[in-house]
Amino acid sequence: MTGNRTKYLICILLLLAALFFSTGISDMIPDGRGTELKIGVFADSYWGVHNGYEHRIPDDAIKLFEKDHPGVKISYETGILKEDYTEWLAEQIVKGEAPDVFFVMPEDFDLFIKMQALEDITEYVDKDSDFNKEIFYRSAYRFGSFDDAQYLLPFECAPELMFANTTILDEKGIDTPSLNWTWDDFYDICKKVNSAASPSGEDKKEVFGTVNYTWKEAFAANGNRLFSTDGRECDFADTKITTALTFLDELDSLNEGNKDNARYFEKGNVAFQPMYYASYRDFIKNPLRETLYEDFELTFLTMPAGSEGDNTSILDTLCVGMYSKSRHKKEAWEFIKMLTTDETVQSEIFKYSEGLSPCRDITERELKKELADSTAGAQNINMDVVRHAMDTAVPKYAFYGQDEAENAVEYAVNEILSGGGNIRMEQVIQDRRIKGILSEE
Amino acid sequence: MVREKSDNSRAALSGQSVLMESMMHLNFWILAFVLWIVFSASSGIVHERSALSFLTQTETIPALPINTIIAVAILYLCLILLLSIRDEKGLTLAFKLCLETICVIWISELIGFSYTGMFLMVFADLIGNSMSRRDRTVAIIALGIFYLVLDSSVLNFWLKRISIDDYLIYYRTDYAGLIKGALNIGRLLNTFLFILYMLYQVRKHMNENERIMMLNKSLKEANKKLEEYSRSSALMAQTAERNRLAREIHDTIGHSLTGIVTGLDACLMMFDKDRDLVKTQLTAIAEVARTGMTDVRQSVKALRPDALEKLPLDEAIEKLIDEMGRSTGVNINYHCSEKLSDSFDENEEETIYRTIQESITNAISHGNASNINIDIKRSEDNQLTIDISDNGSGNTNPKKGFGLTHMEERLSMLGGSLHIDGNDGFTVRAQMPIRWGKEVKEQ
Repeated sequence: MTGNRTKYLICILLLLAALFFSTGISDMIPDGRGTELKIGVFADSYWGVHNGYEHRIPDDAIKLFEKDHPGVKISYETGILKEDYTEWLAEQIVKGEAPDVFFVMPEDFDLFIKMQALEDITEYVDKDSDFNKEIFYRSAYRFGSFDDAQYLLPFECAPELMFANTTILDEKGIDTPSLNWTWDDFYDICKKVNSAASPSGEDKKEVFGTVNYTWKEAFAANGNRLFSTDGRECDFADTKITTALTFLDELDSLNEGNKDNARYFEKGNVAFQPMYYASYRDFIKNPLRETLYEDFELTFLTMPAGSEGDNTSILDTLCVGMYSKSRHKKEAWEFIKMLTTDETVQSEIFKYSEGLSPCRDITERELKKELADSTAGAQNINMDVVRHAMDTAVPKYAFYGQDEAENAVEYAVNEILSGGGNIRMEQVIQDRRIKGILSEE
Repeated sequence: MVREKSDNSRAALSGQSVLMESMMHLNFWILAFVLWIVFSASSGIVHERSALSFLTQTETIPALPINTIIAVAILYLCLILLLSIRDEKGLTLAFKLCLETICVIWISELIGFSYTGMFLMVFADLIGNSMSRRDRTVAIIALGIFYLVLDSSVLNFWLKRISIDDYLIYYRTDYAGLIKGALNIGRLLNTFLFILYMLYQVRKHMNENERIMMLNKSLKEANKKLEEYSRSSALMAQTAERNRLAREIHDTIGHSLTGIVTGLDACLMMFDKDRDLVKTQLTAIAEVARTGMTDVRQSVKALRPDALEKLPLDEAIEKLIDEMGRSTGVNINYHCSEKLSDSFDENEEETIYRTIQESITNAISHGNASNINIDIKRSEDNQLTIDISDNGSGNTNPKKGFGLTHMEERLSMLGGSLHIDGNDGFTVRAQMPIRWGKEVKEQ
């Protein structure tokens, strides 16, 4: 009997040992190496620009942080390209070596939430007296929330704006549209530009109203998000979509016969093109610009409002999150806070990257600074437009498998626009098809 | 026959533990196989840069393979240890089964519910232990529900766990098929072992039932024999009683009549010579006849000598000798060195009394003796020895008549013996053990 009792005792000890190993308590034991934070970063800019600054901003942030927090060391793996970054992150997670703090691509956010790889930082946000979420643009801040919980903080963002070739507009005697311009204004200008360019003389170059104004911009302008946040559902048969499609159809008929005009804006013969702010920065800061492109004046405007919507921009945001199994959550939070809210770090975005800071004050200050500095080449920055766009922006679609979903919608829109049949009817048919594709994923 | 059966059940028991051990071995190897697949796949996934598609598929952060392996090893060790504890009862057994169930569920959870065959071992353990029918039913239902829930991957719906199927994505389709096949073979083997175990259990129970039936049968036979025996013993008692009656008649009436006849013969001879003596003689004869009558009456009532009924053995014998001597005119010397009264039970007392009475009667009626010596003593080997010798004609070839035969019967029934010698007069030596001898001596 005592033998059995010993066996039971051993069993209970073994169960405790199993608990120790299976729940990861074993990972919680301090290893005596001090606090070492690992962060996940990728080289160069999020905006697809190889600007040569590599890890400049994180490096400076780390230096600042280590100075403020002696005893905390921060390390990261260098040289990971943006396109390899998500795979690298996944490998680290599988190997159990995931970084404590890492940048999150918008399209990975949904996957990491499902995997529960991201720490819910709502409590830190609410309880940290040093932190005030009001300093962020609301639209940028909302990007990192999911189901009323905050998971990410915005590090860098860029709204989509409507760029206008003011040289063309001036030539045609057209006034720069106001902040609240609409589809009707947009259509009228396009029509005017097109008709003014009707071949009256051989030497005159062709001029077009707009390029790259797609369903994404049109749906957003008409107040329809199309996809649910997790990308599992969509409502393609909505009447707002019908209006947007009708508008696209009308716009399309202006460009009849000239579908292949993608790079014309850079050549100076297109009046309007929607572009992310970051692409604009790249465009104007590119040292080879003068040799590659025609010389013309350009400015940016808000997006034209749809008949049932607003002057809504699409906002692309790069965020930072904390790994849910991090061993140093307090330090991780401090570092996230520094990356996203520290003035020095955030103002470096304007030096070493192409986006805008999600902190309103920093962005406004830095843009004003650039306006004053004529060598920056940004004479036409309209602060009101940035403010208006950031305030009304909606986040870019960000869910896993959004490429397939977007392709499906792209196909559907093209079918409808080229088919010339009843739009409502076609919408219902395509709605079923898209839903089928979404549920397959 | 019964021993053979119990050997069988012992064989079943050892077969049962061999099967249990085989299941432990098999499950160990299956778990090792599953863990190996998990380990090699998760390192391979990182190597081949397919971690993202793996995570997209599983939507779960996988546990570190090395932690999983250590935890599973520990839990399996724990399970084996628990299974090796045998013959528990009641609450301890319930506690043990609970711990085993926890181990199994936990192991299954750690390997993403890819394999749950360990449950069959807990089942086997449950069935191998003895418990009341109600407890067993409750336990089987509870375990059955657990097993169903675990094996039907219902849990996977809520608890997202990475099962081996997810890891198999890493392997080429044909290899993945092979691995799944191997795992299925393991599963089937485990089930097969479990079925064998159950068969052994059923056989063990059947053997037990057979053994009980055998015992029942032999019990019935013994009962029957006992009944027969009791019937025959009743018959024997009847016969004995009949014999006893015959003996009583012979002892009482026969004895009295012998005395009367001998006495009257003497009276006839003396009648002319001495009338007074004849008168006394007749009075004695009358006394004998009256005693005989009382004896007969008594026999009918309780078949017990009247003298013994009223007097202690010592006095009864003395009275008998006195009466016989007076009625027959024979000289009887009586010597007793042993205290007789209160030393023997009724049966023994009667035997002693009848032996003396019969011997005197024989000496007078057959041997025409005029002098009889009676000596009662205790011999070395704690036997009561009664010697009755006379100076009569004796008999060189004595035939045991009714009286002697019954005397012998009576003595042998009490473990004693009878010796007769007719060469010099007639000598009778009756011996019987003194059962309360020591106490008598002490008293």
